Amino acid sequence: MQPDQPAITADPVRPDERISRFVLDRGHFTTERVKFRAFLPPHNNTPDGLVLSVGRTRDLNEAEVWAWGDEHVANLGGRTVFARGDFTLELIQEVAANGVILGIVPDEPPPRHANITGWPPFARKEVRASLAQQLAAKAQLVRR
Amino acid sequence: MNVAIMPARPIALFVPRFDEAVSQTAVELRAEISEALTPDRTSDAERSDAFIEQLIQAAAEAASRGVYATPEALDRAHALVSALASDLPVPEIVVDDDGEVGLDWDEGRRRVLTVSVGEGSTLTFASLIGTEPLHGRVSFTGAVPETLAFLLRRLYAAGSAGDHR
Repeated sequence: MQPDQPAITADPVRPDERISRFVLDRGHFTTERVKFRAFLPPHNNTPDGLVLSVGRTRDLNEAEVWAWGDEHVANLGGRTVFARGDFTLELIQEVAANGVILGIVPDEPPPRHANITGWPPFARKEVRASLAQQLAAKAQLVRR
Repeated sequence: MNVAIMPARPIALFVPRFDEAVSQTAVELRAEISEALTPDRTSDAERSDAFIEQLIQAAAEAASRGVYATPEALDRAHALVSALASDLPVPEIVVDDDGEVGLDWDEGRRRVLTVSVGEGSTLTFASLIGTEPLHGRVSFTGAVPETLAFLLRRLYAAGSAGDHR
């Protein structure tokens, strides 16, 4: 069922708006936190380089957040959303490694979809891992 | 004529079937003998077996999603873990999308070390211990690189703070 969501245009991400990374792997979270591997970008190599897919879930209630994750994340690969890590652009910008600071760029459709960009290229695996570890440390676990 | 055959040297016989002693001393002696005769399954061997099993599972899981770790990477990962101090926990194992073997010691929100092992001698690592992120590359040619040994000691230092799992 399509949740009744307020329209959101692809405006720039506000520093304090809620951003959610949905977790599809049971091994990527514990009872207390999301583990860093949930924040590693896959080898997707888009025109923007490596990106990490997230949802802009501000103004959605809990049911609507999970519904968004089910429709736009889990269903794409026939998987299940088990949990999510919530953070803000402000927190993301506190993360740095080797001079790299990440950003968030709207990437619609689907509505509310965005990408965390600025990741180092393939050859700098250790830097990506460090950024992911720092992101995980800042994210707030929400279990379904 | 009677014949008696005597061994050149005294021998010890342990025949539990005929052991009917019930004293405390007998009980204790029986336990000690039993322990002495039990195959020496060292903790190192058990640890190695557990790691190999996890390595196989990780490789199989990766293969199910079309990612294949090379035998060299698997072998080097095993060599690295085998070279570690036996009192360290066996890491979690993941085969990355690039076919390298990831070894994670993930003990808390700010107590994590990951090492990535490929075909060559260079290992990449990243850690977050407390408020200090570190990352880099080290060479592995058989002995545990000093940097990794240092980070593992910090990670598992007695009384380390960190959230539980």
